[in-house]
Amino acid sequence: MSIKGNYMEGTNSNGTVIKRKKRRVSILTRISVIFLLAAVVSGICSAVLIRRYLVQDEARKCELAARTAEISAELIIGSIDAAKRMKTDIVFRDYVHELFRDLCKAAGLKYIYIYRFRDDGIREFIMTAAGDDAEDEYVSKVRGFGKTSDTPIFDIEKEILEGKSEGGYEFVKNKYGDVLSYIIPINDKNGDIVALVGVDYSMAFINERVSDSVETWIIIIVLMFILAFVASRILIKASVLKPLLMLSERMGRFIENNEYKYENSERNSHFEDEVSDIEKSFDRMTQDISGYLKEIGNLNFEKAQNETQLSVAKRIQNGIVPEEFSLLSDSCETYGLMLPAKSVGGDFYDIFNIDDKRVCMVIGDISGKSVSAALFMVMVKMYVKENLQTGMSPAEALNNTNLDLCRSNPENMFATVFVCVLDMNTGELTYANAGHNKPLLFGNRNEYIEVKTGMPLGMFTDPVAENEKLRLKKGDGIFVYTDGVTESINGDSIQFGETRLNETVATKKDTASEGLRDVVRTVVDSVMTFAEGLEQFDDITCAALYYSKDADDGIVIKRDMKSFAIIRNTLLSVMGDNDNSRNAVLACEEIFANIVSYSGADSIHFSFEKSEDICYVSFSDNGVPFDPVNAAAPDKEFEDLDTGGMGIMLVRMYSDEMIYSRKDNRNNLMLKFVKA
Amino acid sequence: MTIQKTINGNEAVLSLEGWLDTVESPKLQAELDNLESNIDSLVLDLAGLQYTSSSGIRQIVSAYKKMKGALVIRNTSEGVMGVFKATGLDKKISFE
Repeated sequence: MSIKGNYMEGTNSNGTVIKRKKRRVSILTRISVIFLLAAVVSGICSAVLIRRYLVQDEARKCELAARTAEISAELIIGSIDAAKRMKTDIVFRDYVHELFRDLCKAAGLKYIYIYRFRDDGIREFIMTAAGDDAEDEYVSKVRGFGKTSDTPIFDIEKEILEGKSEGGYEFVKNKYGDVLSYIIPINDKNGDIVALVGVDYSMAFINERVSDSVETWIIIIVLMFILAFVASRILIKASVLKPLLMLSERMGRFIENNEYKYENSERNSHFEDEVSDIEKSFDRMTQDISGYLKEIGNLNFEKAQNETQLSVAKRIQNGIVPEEFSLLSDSCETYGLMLPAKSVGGDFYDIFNIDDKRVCMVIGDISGKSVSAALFMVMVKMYVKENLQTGMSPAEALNNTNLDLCRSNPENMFATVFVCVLDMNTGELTYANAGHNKPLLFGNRNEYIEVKTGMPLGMFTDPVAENEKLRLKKGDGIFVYTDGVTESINGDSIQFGETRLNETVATKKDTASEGLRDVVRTVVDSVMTFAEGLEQFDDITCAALYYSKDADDGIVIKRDMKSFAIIRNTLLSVMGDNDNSRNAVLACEEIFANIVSYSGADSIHFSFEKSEDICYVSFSDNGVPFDPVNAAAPDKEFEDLDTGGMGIMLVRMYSDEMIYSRKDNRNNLMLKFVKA
Repeated sequence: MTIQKTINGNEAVLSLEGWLDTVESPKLQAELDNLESNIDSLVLDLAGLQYTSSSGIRQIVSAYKKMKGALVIRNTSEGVMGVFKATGLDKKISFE
């Protein structure tokens, strides 16, 4: 039996945990001890009980013999005649003695004796016989007829004489040995007690027989106990301990095993019992726990996944709206801002050039939120932009996008989108609406444009939008927004609304000087202030386009040397490719390189005029003031040529005339080339 | 612009073709920077060069300095030669 340390936790007054070692004793050992104790106790008890029973049994045998003797005695000496005869007739006396001696031998008795109590209380023997011949000879003399004995009267004799008992036994120890005496009265015809008959059983003999029986019985009982013990031990071991041990091992494995694998515990048991109940409970518990753990694991995994997806989606959404508004023109200002709600929403806006003279603004709102909305939004935005850039009109772009979306839209999502395209040369605004909020006109006038509502994208394959046109004047702007702006509510559940939006935008009268950024930010700030203290529940998105047609006619050129290709190709195509035109290109390149490198301008225009043999090339930039006509052009030594500074000299050399002016914060330079 | 390089012992010949303008001149600069260390004289064959701007002139001057004067320019077209003359390149560099 293995004894392992097992600890029981307790807490002392200081609150620290103290551990007491408990001795480990197997159930089997304890059961064995109980069995052993029970066996010993029941062995002792049964020995005592059986012994008593057996002695009584012997006494009954003795009684039987005594009754026989009594009957014989009554027959023989029950009459006065016989008693008298005993007194006188020695032959008769011997005959009777002989008779009782035979009875003694036959019944295995030690003695049979007949006696009476004289009036003085002395016993007077009438006859005594013994089973043993030698002893018989002796006792017939000392306890023969008329012999007396002063042995005190026994209790049972007293009872018999007093008529209280019909006979009984007494254990007697005297010089004749250790015996059981059974004493019965002998009555005469009148029922009076004339004498007593006693039969003696040898206690040694009785004890021998009783002991033998008791031994046998004890052996039988102990054997039965051993049998029962072995049987119950086997049973307990097989049906309780072994399964419990298995169960305990499985519990241990279950605790250690991080995979929470369910182990099938089906044991070969023919019966349902308490242990199988425990096993079933344990199985159910492990399954449940495994299930829960798996579920918890999944939940955590899903949560992490969702959070990742959300952050990815949010990044997609935030990254997909333009950050820079580097349009190829300054005849048009644009600005946009998106304030996403906590979860990923589906708002988007987009501002881009279709070509040199057209700028496009798109705003949209996707039904629903979360990742799917974000992805749908990406699709919508891409489709719309792609379609517009391939030359489609706003309505065509929307209708085409709608068809593409309807083709595969398992989530039945939809998007409201407004698209407008501004021709920066003419101020013509072409727009189409697919179910989006109506845009706001601001600047010269503040009013909503009553656009045709159209149908959201992604619902039906029918055309969703129509083109409408509007001519913007210089100083007109278009403000677009999503319902996150107008439907923002304050603490009293009042919506921000279109009127408030119009009023907010209208406060920004001097758009040009304060900048479009200010208009958009003011609106967003107003909405946030309006809904102060409430959680933003929808994306807030605004974008605006402002038509500031304040530039001279001409080609807008990006401030990048690569853009010089446009100027070069224009000149060569106009003037033809020859040494003269190349010299003109050289002059222009030096001017343009100067603007690119030093002006810091973000608006450069290039234009040219051509008469029969004269070509005028004009540059206009909003960079730092620089007058190449009057600038010092140092006559550099050869050694210094690799540091630059030749540009102005070359321009002067290859142009036929240079005219510079500074107007409206712009450098305006005109170069004149005369064909050879 | 394309540049073709030929090595004859310690002499390198770079044949330039196309337009040597501000955008293209870094190619020439890269070519000069990557010349093998044993090269001590350089020939620029400009037969195919149609145009040069001041940025091209700058590269040629720095090539001249790098070769310590051992620079020869060949087959210069009239137009390009005009630019060279205008900037005073012809005063130091030998033309063939």
